[in-house]
Amino acid sequence: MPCGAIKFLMMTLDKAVRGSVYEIVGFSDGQEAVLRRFFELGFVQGERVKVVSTSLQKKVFLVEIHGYLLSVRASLLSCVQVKI
Amino acid sequence: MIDVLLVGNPNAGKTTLFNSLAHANEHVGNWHGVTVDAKEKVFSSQGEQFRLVDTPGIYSLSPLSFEERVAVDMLFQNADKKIINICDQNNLRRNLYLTLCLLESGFDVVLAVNEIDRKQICKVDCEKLSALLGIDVVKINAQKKRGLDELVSSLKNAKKTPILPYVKKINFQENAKKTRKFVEKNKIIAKTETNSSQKLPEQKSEISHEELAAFHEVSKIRYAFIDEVIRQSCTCTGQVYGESKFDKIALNKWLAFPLFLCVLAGIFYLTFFSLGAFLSDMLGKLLEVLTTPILTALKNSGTAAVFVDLFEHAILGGVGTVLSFLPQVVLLFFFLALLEDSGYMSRIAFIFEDILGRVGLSGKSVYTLLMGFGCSTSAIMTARNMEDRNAKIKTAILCPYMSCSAKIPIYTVIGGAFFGAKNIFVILGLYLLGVIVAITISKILDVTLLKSQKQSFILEFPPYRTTSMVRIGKILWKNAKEFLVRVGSVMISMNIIVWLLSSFTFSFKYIGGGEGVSMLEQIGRLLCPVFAPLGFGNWAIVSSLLAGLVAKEVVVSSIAMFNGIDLNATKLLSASIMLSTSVVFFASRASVISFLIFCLLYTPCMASISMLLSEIGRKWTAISILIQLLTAYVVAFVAYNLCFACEIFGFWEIFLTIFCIFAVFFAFFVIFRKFKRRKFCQNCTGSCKNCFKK
Repeated sequence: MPCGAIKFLMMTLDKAVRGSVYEIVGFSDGQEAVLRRFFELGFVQGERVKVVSTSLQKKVFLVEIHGYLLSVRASLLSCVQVKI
Repeated sequence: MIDVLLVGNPNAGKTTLFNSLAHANEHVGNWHGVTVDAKEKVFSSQGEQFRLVDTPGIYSLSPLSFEERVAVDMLFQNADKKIINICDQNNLRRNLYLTLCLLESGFDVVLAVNEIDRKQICKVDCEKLSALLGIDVVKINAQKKRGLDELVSSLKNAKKTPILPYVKKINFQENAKKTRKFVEKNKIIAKTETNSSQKLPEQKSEISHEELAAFHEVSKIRYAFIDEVIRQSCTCTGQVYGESKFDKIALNKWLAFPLFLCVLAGIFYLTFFSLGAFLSDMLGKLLEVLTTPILTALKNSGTAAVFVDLFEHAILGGVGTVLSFLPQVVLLFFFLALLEDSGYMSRIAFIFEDILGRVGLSGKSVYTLLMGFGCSTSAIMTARNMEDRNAKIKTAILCPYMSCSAKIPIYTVIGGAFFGAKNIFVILGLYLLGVIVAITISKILDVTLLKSQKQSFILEFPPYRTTSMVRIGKILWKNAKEFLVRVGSVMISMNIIVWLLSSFTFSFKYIGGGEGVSMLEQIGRLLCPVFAPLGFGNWAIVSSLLAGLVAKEVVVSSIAMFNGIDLNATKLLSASIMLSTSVVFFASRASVISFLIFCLLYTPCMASISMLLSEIGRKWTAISILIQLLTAYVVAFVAYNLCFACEIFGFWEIFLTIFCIFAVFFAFFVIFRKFKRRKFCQNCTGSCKNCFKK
């Protein structure tokens, strides 16, 4: 698979599109406390996450994970790496 | 006595269970983080005494916020006590994560599966779940008090905590050693933990990359185990917890704000105008019917005039003022309770987060701030639900800048007297100014004293729910009682102090409306020079501002009293006409504008100050008062001089001058910023692109 295609498929969750379902593939460096909270809330490798809605300026995301809804600030989601 | 700790995820129903088990009346709500401190109560059941402790909601044993730390510290300091771990039946997958953390740490746990919602997303087979986890599992309904006897029986005969099969499985993982050590360490320390300075790896605020990787691995294994447990013991419909069709409107980018404004306008209208005003009126009439005979009897009995005056104006006046607020406060809390229980609060926080985040506030601040337009006192009370302490203090400090309903008589009577039909624009301008000042102060506080800890905005969406009227009744009773005791006592005592100051001279001679200079008038005259630069250096105005510290309604009645008008005998319109003759008090329209702005921004009423004291403490209340006085003085001074200049030179001339000054400053700012950014890299004269990067 060409490198460009990989780049296209992989992204951070704050760049995700509303209504799409993604699979968590990893985590980049971020605040450790926030990463720990994400793990506890079910953001673990291989888990599927759906962006349900975004706020007006797309600074807050409403995501569906493990069958429940969670609103998270977009800046925090930048440490969650996903693929379609 | 058996000590029991109530532990669970936020919004799982801990406080509802606490209230049901211990017959308490603690505050609950259908959103995240209602309980912020531990609460304790003793109760008896099945011939045994229990000491039940309700703790704030946690997701795991790694605290992130202050209230989570309270709960986790409490857990580890009471590692030998029994635990009721309450889980929401419809959100079991996420809730069981905490259960596993507790079991791994060796706590004696009884699992209470709470059926909060009538609609069941997940049907749980408690026997299978109990067999899989190795602990007692009891199905309960905390609100309807179902299954509580079984829960108490399980507490008395709680099984010994088992070692879960997946903990052994961790050995086979890639980073087995690290993870195993991590979990083992957790388990051992939890049983022996006595010193809170010794932190578990999960409790540490900073952990290494290796530990973080191990943490992820453990989380993954825990969730894999939960999935297996759910597969074997639950039947799920596949519906998403918290999802609703109504959210298509409530979260829609075009409809969300109008919907919220409609809801708020409805609450405003019912609380402060139609129903609230009617109830206040009725209460006033009832008070009049009850007190008139007492007052007449007191006057006829030959009681000294000073005591009659004290009873009529200070005590009855104080009681009247407190009671006039009571229906509004009760209604406000009624609607607040409805909103809290409905689950709409989380949606409000979501839609406002990115806007208010820019000025260092949280999305959760919006409800408190908008309620400030009604009554600052009750609005400040609603700020306590916020997680971020700095945002909570900021929100409480900003509440008084939202022009409360008590200031409406000042704007309508005094503004109406001087501006006539154009007064509506003055009033709108004042409301807008309050918001602008609040935003500016919030931004300044955010970069100086109260930096917001934005990391906490991870908010769960609860499902929409209805509430029981019994619960609403309990909330209203509790808040009304709190308002009457805490706020009422301060207001009545301040009313008596103002009466003393306005009825006695410094030689303590009673003047009672007769000749002589009261203490309030003398203080007013003493402070006159301070207010002269604002355009109203008049003792009557200054005295009315001092009296307004008790309640803002007093400002108009004081000015009327000094002008010889009995406001009880006249309507607002005629009072306006009569006040317009009092040109001696206000030299020009500029001074009226300045006075109205000062009234808008200066220290709020005593009730609000006492509420600030109880919510944010003495230090921040003092800072808040200082900021309010300074802001009111500076803004009123600038407004007076601008309006005065407009009166002399004309509006457009002044407007153009200010525009030019701002344009020059803006040009300087842009040039200065450009030069500041110009940093040359080594061996370069500034021609390469990299030079402008920093």
